[in-house]
Amino acid sequence: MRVYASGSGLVKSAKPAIATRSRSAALVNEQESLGVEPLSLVVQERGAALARRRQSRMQASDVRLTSPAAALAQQMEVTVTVTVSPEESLLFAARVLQTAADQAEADTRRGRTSYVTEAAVKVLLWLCGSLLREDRDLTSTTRGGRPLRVLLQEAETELRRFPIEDYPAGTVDVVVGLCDLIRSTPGSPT
Amino acid sequence: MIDTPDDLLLLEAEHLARDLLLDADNTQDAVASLFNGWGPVIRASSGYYAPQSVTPFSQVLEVCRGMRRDARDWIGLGAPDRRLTRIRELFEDVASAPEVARDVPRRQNAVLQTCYLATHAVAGAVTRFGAELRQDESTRPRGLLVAALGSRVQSAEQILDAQLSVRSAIAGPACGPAQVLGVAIAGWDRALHDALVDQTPDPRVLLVSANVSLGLLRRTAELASLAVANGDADSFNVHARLLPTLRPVTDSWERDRDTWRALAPMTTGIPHPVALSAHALHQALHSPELEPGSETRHALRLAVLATVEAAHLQVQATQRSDLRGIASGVSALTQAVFDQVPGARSLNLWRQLERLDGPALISIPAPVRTEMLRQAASTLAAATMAASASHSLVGADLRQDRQTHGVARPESEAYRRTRIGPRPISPMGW
Repeated sequence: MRVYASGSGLVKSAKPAIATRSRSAALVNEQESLGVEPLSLVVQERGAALARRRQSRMQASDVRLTSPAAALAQQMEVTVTVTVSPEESLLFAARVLQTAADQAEADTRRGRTSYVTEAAVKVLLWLCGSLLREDRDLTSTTRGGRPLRVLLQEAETELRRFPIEDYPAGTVDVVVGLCDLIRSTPGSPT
Repeated sequence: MIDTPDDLLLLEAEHLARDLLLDADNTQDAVASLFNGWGPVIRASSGYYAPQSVTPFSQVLEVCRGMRRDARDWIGLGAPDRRLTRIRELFEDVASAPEVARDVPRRQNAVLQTCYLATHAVAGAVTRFGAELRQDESTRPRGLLVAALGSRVQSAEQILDAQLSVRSAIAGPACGPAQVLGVAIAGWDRALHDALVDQTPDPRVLLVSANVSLGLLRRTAELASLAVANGDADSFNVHARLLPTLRPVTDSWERDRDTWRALAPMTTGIPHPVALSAHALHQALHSPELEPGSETRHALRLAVLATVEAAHLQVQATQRSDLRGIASGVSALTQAVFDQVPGARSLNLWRQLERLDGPALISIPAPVRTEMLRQAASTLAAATMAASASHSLVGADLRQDRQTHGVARPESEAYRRTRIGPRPISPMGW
């Protein structure tokens, strides 16, 4: 397995290499419920994995598992559980959106958000669900009771796990809709 | 999956485009930066397909070229947005790889997807900026101009959406009649922009443009109806959505054609590339091998979008003070305009101008140009509606409704027919 060195970190050329972010306990629980396999991956920040090609090309061929960089990578190695396929990732995003839709409905009842926002979340949920195979259970175990914006951001972040072209065709519409909705939804930007 | 450094660079570009979507400011400086950074990204994306001359970005490149001056006048100058600059650098970087490494459908798709996201971000920012300007009475006129600019970026977004809808648009040589039609549309679009952008408008070119737009729209209606008859297209989408929008835009183009026919001298002088590309497009459009399959419908969607850009160019032409026409045409149009003004004096004097008919063109009075602009804007509005409706030509087979647990779905027929349409018809921030 080749290891590409970059700016401040390393990333193995594993599938999916970008899915090397540490996840919250809730996420791990969620993915365990999907029956996905754990992968052993190098933990690092996402930004560091995205190297300039020039740097990458120069260094990629030189780095071997026996090199100091690779040894450092091995020292940093931790075990995390990640979704193993874009379909699983999309399903997880749909489940988060289901929670967001429930939250939006509750917010509408309390007068916190408008019906337009609630409808927008549900349209996104339907769109996301229509991209999945039949008979997938969208009942979410994601922790509810969180602000709508946070849930939407979680779904958007999930859809960054793989390159967009690896997801089913039409996922880009979900991403665009999510980003538009996040931008227009009040709440803390974090 | 991530296999090479090139894939990582493309992924970084995609994430930057998403960040842009989440965090695009609406201030004038920010919008100017976004707009000025967007064109270079499209050029770099098109460069990824080198040495191909016609790429999925060809029509979008022409859109960029067509509105450069408007953007400068209505939004202003600004340094390109740093995120867009970074995306451009990344695309240029991956475009420097050997052709064999670039000619991979999934990488080409990644470039296209990222451009789509970035274009949506720019379109949204420009549109929101225009909406803010329209709220204040003092800046309302400028807000309308900026909104028109935003609509044009949204047209570019729709073109990219159409390119994303068909896999064969991303990869594969132009061999079938549908691909030939796509290439002919791109060639026509380029020739029309060459003839009209930053040029003194020639009524002969605009007459050809109106004729070509009419041909594209009528053929689209024919082939869409044929596709329904063959069971290739959804009857509801075509008969209830597409055709009702094609009729008014066709009528509007016919009125435009009459206007340009009146103003255009009966002489040669049409730029050769315009005539050549119009001829090639006509051949491709009426090829007996052209069947109403999905690839043809994809090409027809691009054709309808090309008529939107032609309508934009027509609006620009009628805004120019150096627009001229033959004396008899100017006379007739002037009389027609003043006939509509109650109590206006008869302008018999203008009729004497008909004697001046010849190769020398004369200026068009401002009230007549205002009327022409109103008519051109009406065509543009109708064309934009048709372009939105044309989404149903390609979008139906991508997102099949499937039963899933836990999602409350309306049972109505209307919902079953519903597809998420292109962005321009979606309310902002949905």
